[in-house]
Amino acid sequence: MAKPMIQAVDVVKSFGDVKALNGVSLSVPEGSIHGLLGHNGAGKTTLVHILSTLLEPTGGTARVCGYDVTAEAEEVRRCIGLTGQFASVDEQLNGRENLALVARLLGASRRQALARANELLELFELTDAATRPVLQYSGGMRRRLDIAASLVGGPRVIFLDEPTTGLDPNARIGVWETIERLAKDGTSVLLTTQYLEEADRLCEQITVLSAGSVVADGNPAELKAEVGERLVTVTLATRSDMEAAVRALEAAGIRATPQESGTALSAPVAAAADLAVVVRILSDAHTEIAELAFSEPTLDDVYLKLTHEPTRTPVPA
Amino acid sequence: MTVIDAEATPRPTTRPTLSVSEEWGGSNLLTQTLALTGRSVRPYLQPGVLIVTFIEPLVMLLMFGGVLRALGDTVAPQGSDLSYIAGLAPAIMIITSVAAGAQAGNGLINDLRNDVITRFHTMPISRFSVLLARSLADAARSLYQLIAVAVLAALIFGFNPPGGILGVVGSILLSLFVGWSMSWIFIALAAVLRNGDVLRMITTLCTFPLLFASNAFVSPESMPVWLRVVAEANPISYANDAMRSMVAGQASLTELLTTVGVSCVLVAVCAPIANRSFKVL
Repeated sequence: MAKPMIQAVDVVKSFGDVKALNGVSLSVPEGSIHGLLGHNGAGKTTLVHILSTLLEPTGGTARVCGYDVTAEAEEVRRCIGLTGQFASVDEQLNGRENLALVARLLGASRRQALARANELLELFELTDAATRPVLQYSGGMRRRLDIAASLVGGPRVIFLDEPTTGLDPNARIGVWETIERLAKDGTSVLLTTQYLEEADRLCEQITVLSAGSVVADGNPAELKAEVGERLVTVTLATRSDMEAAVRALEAAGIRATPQESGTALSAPVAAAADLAVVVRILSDAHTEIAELAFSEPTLDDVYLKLTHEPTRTPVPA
Repeated sequence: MTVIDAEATPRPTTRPTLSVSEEWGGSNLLTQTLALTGRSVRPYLQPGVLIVTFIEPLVMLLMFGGVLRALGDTVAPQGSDLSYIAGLAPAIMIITSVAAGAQAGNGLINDLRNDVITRFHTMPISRFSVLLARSLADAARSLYQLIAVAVLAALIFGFNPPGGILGVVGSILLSLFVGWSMSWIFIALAAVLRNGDVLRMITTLCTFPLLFASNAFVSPESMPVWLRVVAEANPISYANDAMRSMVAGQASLTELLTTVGVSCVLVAVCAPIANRSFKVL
């Protein structure tokens, strides 16, 4: 395993009487994408703020790029990039000026700053919008520019705080591809998200936070195995087929449960590939399928399974 | 050939082989301040904003020129034969620059609401440069207005004082400096309070007495005793005296040094408070 670029050990953060983080530890090796999964108020953003030197921890230690975030904050700032939940770009400036400003602040000459800005605009497909004020950008463009701004200095570690929240599906996939590319180029990524699907697609390791504590960590496969079931929901074309359908599936060892509507049934399956099995069984039983849906376990399922707590609970104040 | 082409146009990458601290070596306070001032000045450069910014001193000149003149010729320094406008123009200048300085607090609050400041705080730059840039951006706006006051006063009221162009330029610069130093009061307040509503109330509460309990419009001799004490201690009165002398062609080194000294004390007290309280979270 490569040396950790981000290392948090028992990090505690209190705001008055409220404990936002209750001893969180994680370790992210070079060039890997680490997911921080949790609902609003779980403490994800607080941890990101501590690791990016915006907040000081109340207890525990955190090192980024090998430097202590409190004692060596200046060195940490030299090697990180942060993209927050809201675009950290200047709306009054255009795309190119935003990137060039960041480069100038990092010590680039005017010429170097412009070159780096153009390079990143190209990379993030923003060249056409380079001279438009950011005020006129769409949500997806803004987010891309924001990520680009975090990358101007070629940081070794980048923090992405809910980079896809509020984006449409297309823009979301664009951001995902960017993140994958970052890791391929050797950047270590800490990504916070509320979506298990996103963490599953991108991350090598996932830490699940709930109310400021780590409730699980591992790779996505381990996590999902722990959480278990994906569900296939079949809506039948004819209500009277229900009995035959359930019987056929159960004969094949699949536990099917008719739903209250009387036209749909649901059954747990191990993987998406098992959909085909369900379809074949039902067609062999001469039952006609009107609709087919497959659902991955959600963060709610993870929470329910791991914490046995009702979901969507805010941090106790 | 292919190899050379590939080297000439390298594939853009998210991450250059060298990290920036190695390649670019970081920036100094001057570069940071200039780059950030350029950013903060940007909203002021929109045509609409430029026009309104220009109209502000025009309205003040016309208003005070008309209204106060009706009260009688009370603002010229004792014993001088300055024209009414020559006595009024410095007062309008100091109002203008103090108002611009007070605006710096709101500017900082707006900046704090904008997440770009969060980015600056995660970068290897001086946080003080962000505040310095804020104060300089409002000083730049103030300079534009001060020039407008001088030009409009000359065009509309025939402002052509004995102190000549040198006296006028001197007044503009002194006024600029005083306004800039006062902006640190409001930047410090904004950094400590971090609340736009409270800040606006305090700003209004401070600026009115500062402006009116001074010798800017009415000579303190005609004020009740308690108000006269305030007016004579008011830094704006010092500035005003120094500027009127310059405009009259009788610049006084004592008045100048006193004014600059008071302003420097203001900055020396407020800037460190602002810097220490300046946090994004």
